[in-house]
Order: sequence, then structure tokens, then C-alpha cells
Amino acid sequence: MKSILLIISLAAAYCASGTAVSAEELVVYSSRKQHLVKPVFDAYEKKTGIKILSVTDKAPALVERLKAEGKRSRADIYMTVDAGNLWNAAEKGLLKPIKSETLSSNIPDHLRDPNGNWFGLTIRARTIVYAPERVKVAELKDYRSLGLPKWKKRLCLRTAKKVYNQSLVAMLISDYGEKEAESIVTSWVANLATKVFPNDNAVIKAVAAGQCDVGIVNSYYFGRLKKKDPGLKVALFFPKQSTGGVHVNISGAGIVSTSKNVAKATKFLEWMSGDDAQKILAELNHEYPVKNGVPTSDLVKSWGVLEENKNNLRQAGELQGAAIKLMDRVGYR
Amino acid sequence: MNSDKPSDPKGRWWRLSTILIAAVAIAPIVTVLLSWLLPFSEHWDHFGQTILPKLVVNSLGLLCLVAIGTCVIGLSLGWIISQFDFPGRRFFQFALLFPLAIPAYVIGFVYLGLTAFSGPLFTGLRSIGVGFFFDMKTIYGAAFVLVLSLYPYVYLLTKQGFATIGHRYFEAARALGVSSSQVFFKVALPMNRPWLFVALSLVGMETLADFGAVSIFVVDTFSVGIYKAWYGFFSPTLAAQLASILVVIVGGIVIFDKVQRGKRSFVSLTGLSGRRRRLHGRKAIICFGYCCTLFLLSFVIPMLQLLVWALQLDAEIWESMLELTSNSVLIGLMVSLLVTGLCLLLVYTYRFYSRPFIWMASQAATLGYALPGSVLAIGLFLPLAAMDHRLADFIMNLTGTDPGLLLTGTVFAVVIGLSIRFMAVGHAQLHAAQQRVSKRIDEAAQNFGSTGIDQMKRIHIPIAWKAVAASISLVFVDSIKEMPLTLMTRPFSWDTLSVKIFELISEGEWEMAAAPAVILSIVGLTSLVLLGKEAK
Repeated sequence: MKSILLIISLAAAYCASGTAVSAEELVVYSSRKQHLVKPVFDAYEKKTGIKILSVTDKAPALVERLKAEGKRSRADIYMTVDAGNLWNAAEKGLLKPIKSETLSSNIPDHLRDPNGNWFGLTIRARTIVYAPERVKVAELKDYRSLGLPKWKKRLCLRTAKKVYNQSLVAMLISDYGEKEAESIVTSWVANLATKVFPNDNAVIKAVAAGQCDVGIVNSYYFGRLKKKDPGLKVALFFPKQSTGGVHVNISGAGIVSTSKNVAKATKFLEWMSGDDAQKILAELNHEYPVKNGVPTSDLVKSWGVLEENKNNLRQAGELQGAAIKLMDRVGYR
Repeated sequence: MNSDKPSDPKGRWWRLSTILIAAVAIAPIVTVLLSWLLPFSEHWDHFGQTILPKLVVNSLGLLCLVAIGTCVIGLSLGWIISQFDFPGRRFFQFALLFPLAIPAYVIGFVYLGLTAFSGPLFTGLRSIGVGFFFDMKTIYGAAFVLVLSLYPYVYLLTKQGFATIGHRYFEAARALGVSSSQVFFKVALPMNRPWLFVALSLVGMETLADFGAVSIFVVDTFSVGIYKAWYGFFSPTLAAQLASILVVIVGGIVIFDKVQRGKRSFVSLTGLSGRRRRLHGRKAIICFGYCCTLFLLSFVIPMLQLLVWALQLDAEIWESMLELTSNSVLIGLMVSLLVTGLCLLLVYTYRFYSRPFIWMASQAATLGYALPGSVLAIGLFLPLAAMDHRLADFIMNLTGTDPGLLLTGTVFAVVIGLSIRFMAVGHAQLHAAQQRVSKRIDEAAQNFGSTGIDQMKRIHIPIAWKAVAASISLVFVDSIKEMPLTLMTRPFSWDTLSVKIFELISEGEWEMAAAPAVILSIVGLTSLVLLGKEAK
């Protein structure tokens, strides 16, 4: 009995030891993977002495957490992938609009919220992957043309439940209108070589193994696999600006509306958009820096020039619901 | 018989604490149910017309497949291991529980990796000229993986059931000239019903709430719909409304069983099991082969694949594992001890000081298991945060300074959340165990003046010790595997092994996730092996 009491009191002491946040700290609620952002946080701490505490979770869960914590939340920054998630947090009034010369000049217009609620920090390209042994580059044009009859039983796609595909279809709606977008996605579904995959890696591997000839993936997944296996028999294709350009999305961040450290948090975001941080961010995950003039990694450079679709990413959020319903209607699972 | 009078002060404390436990446990569920009071989402039309019917059909289909699969495998294993002796029996008796140490989604991604078109199985076949291919990304694939990961619940509980019923019934039946298979179907199976039902309801709840495995196999079940409402349409309200339908279904099944079973009791004749029959020749080989195949499929193959991946990793990733492991173990210990203690209280309040509402309360306390983890997480977080704000307001009024949120984002919140989630697991073990102890023992004890805690300490816990050990061990394993609740309620910069696995697999980094997955499995295995020792 005594030992049980001892265990309980030790446990209670352990439970009560919360993490106090001191003045020289910033709290980041992040849906980004620790190993992809930790090195940048560490670099900031080394430079300024400000420690970055973070808690990771899925973006929608973090939004609910912020809502429930309200004015007593200790979060200063909300950081996530996909403009849709950032848009949702802003819609719910959880982010504070910021005016900063540095952020405006470092980050192109289409990669940040027009009202200053959130800012893109890296660019991720969702583009076409193909098997060079069976497909000539000249046969590829844009996302829409993957619905042509010549790709029948040759296309592989990831599940429609992934937000990356929802954003892609949202941007198709914004480019072509809902009706045309629906016929494009219908033609994709008709061309599928096999059931949809749970992630991008599986799509790339299927193309490499000959299960299909073309697919749509985020470029950094391709980068990771290519780095591991340089002999992988797949290649990336970037649609040209004249045919709509490459669909891009962002990882980004905004300042939490209840933050008591707005000035300090703004300084941190400005630093994140600057040369040093941009270089680390781009290197870490084979993504593209948002700031002009910052070099990409050598591997990314070898893929050629990225011609982005310049529609404002806010629409990815606004049209996400419509995109999901569209995909449900045409049976894209 | 027992001190059952309303004036009895001791019984009142027991009942009061049961109701208190139930009230805390049911708070997240009530929060989820309250979502019906909020404005209805504009997306209901789309859900109702386009996808809901398909989700329901898929969920029911998966439920049936998994229930049948785990029932056949679990029962047959429970029967042969409790009744017969054959080579390897002593090993398999515990080894067949090992799959519990590996999360279902981990078994899932291992099999999907092995059987992908680009995976080793079919690449190998193609290289020798066989073009045959089947896609595992179907409802059958998902069911296969869930059966492999959940059958141990049925096996464990029905084995206890067969051991408890005792051999005398079976021997009596045989003496009356009933064949072996008839003994099983006419005597053993009907008598095992309480254990089988508890086990199947655990399996059913786990299947309905599963998100990890079904999403790997791209099967659209009800829980996938719940996530879609929340993550896709950004409507936690719609998600909670959908989730509450699940709770109602599970609650209905529990009540149905209670009503149907009525007052029939299932009490051991002897309390001791007889001697196992030794098998020889072909029968022994079949039993051995059967156990072997299941052990290979559900444990050896996934574990080997994880080890192969883990051994290829850089040393770097292993460095962070020590802290993650100690956090996981601490959480597991706290939750499993707390849950087992609370469940003992629930089960024996019902036994000693029963009232109809006590049964309701103790069943309600276990419903947290039926909700998908993320939904329970938000259902828990809202009342916790509300309470926290009240507490902070109170302190601020008193002292003039705002202390901030004290409960949310602490280990305390994680422990409470996980305890609510896994009450059902501990309760299943202890409830089944106390059922087989005759009430006459209580009466006898009472005649010697032993009641309540004293009686529990001197009589019931020693008798039910195996079940207590099983409860601690199973809840430990479950709580270290859990992801969404741990994610949402944990403190800043405080991670566990399962959190690490989440981060890695959500980026498709399955190979890297092997490191924390291997350690998680080993920690879980250790707890199961200790259970095996304790239960001998």
C-alpha cells in the first residue's frame, strides 16, 4: 500500500510540472514535422537567444485547441502546411493581421493573405511525375490533358482525402470554372490504372514499377525518393506558364490573435522569410524558397525552372469545400 | 443478502464514487452529443445524399468481416489452447497475444508495403515471369489487418471463459456420448457467451473507431466520414454529430445484450480447470501449424519488416528515442494503474451495492472507447478548457493575477484523457473475472464480518489477480499506442513514441517510423510477457 501511495505522489508531482513560458520564449503550434522545422528553430535560438517551444498536431486539431484556450492560450504562432488550413484559422478569427514591410517585400503577393493574416514560408509544387521509359516529354502538357483517352489505364493518383489534392482541384475550379473542373476530374477517374493510393510515395513507386505511366505528386516526395535511390526510373514534368503553370501550395504561418508577444513573433516571421532561414528551409525538404534570389538545393535545381500558377492561394481555402463535393460526385475517392 | 439497505452509509460512498467516475468519463461524450444543439452545417445535404449511405454500408461490412474473423480465430485458439496439449502450446499461449503490442496501422503499412505492385512480393513474382497481382487496398485488406491485430482480445477473454467454465461440464457431456465437436458447439460455446460478447464488443468498438488502418487501405468508413467533415469541410460540429451516431449504436448494442441475457448467471462449477487432453499425430500437427501460421502473420512478419527498416536507419534518429520512451512508459504506467483502480471500484460497487442506475453508470463510463480518438480528444478538451478558464478566473479574482491555464496542456490532461478512453479495456477484464465468482462467497465472507474494501482485498483481488494483471498490462499497451488524444492534450515540446510515429507516417516516411515503432512494440511486449509470468 505504501509503495502505491509513493507512486501516486510521484506521479502527481510529475503531472503538476507544467511547462512555464518565460519572456525569452515563443510558442509555436505547428502541424509541421519536428525534423523539418527544428533546425530552423535552433538556428534562431542560437542567433537571438529566444527559445522556440513547439507542440505538433494536425492543423484542424490545433485550431480547436486555440479556440478552446481562447485569450489564455500561450501560443504565439500557428504554423502549418497548405493554404486551406491557414485560411480556415484566419476565417475563425484566430490569426492577427500583420503589416510588415519585410514580409511584404520578401514574400510574393500570391503566396500570402491579402489581409496579412498568414504568410507563405516555402513553396511546394504539386506536379506531374512520369516514367521516361514509356512516356515522351512531348506527350505531356498540363493537368487537364491527363484526362485524354491516351492515358486510359495509365494514370495513378493519391486519395482525394489528402488536402493537397483538394487544393489542386480547388485551383482547377478557380482556373476553369466548376463545370469544366468537374469534367477534368471525371476524365482522370476514368483513366486510373488502379485504386487510389494513400500517399505520394506510393504513387511514385507505382510509376517506377510500371503499374502506371503518369501521376500527380508533390515535388519534395520525389526529391526524397530520388536522393535515396538516384537510379529511380521516374522524372518530374512542370506544366508551362502558357498552359496554366504548376500548381503550387505553401507551408506558412500566422500570428495567433491572442499572442502577448506580437512584436517578437513578427520579428521571428520576418527572420523566417529572410535569406538565412529560407536557405535552411529549402534545403531541409527539397522545397522552394518563397524569397526571390535564395538558391534551391542542387537536386531541386536539376529539375529545371518552376513556372508557377499565380492565382492567390486564398482560393484554395475558399473553394476547398466545393472541391471535395466535386470529387465525391464524380467518385474520386 | 449484501448490505443493500438504502441507509447503509458504506454502500453510499461506493455508489457515489461510481457515479463520480461515470460523470467524468461521460463528459466528453456529452460534449459530443451536445453538438446537436449547434446550428446544422450546410454540408449535411451533401453528406446525406452523396456519401453517408456508402459510409454506413462500408462500416457495417467491415464490422461483420472483422467480427466473424476475430470470432473464428479467437474462439478456436481459446478452445484448443485451454483444452488440449500439443507441442508449442506453452509458448503460443502467450505469444499469440503479442500482436497487441503492434498498432493496427503499423501492421497495415507493413502489409501494404509488402504487397504493393512495387513491393517485394509481386516484384519477385514478376521477375520469374508470373504477372499475377492483387490489390490489397480493399475492404478485405483492411479487415485482414484488423483481424490480425484484434483477435488477441477474443482469444484472451474466451480462453479465460473456457478455463473458468471448468472441465466438468465438458466431461459430463462426453460421458453422455456427445462428440467432441458437439461439446464445443452445444456446451462450451453457449456457456462462453459472456466472455465472447465482451470481447466482440471491444473488437467492434475498436473497428468502428479505427481511422489509421482504414485510411491506409483507402476504405471509406464512418470514421473516415467524421474526419472528412472536420478536416475537409472544417466543421467539427458536423464531425461531432456524426460521431454521436456511433455512440448511440454502441450504447444500443450494450443494452440489447443486457436485456437479452437477463438474469442468467455464468458461474464456475469448480473454479479449477481440469487436465488438458494430450493430442498426438495429425491433430497435434494441425494445432501446431494453425498457431504457427497465425503467429507468423500477425507478429513475426510485421516485426521482421520493421526491424529490417529500422536497422537501415542513421544513428541520429535513435538518439531522441530515450526521452520519448521514458515519457511513453510513464504515461502507460500512470494510466494503467489509474484505470485498473477505477475499474475495480466500478465492478465491485456493481457487485456489492447494486442498483439499476449503477449498472448504467458503469457501462456509461466505458463508452469512451467507441469514439474515434480525435473526436474524443476534442470532446475532452472543450470541458477541460472550460473548467480551466473557471479555475483561472477564480484565482484571478482571489489574487489579482491571471495564472493562465493550469490543466490543459499538462501530463494530467493526457492521463485523464487516456484513462477515459481505455476504461472499457480494464472493465472488460475485471467484469468478466468477477462474474465467475459465486455470490455465495460474498455471503460467506459477510458472515465473518468482511465487507467492502476488506472483502475485496482478502477475497476478490486474490481470486481475480490474473484479471487485474491483464487489465494493467492491456491498458498499458493500449495507452502507449494511442495517438490523437496524446497529441491534442500533451504539454509543449513533450513527445512520446506514438507521437513520433504519427509525425513520420503522416509524411509517408514509413521506414523512418520503424525506429519508434520497434521500440514501442518492444515496450508493449515486455508488459505482455510480465502479464504472462503473472498469470501462470
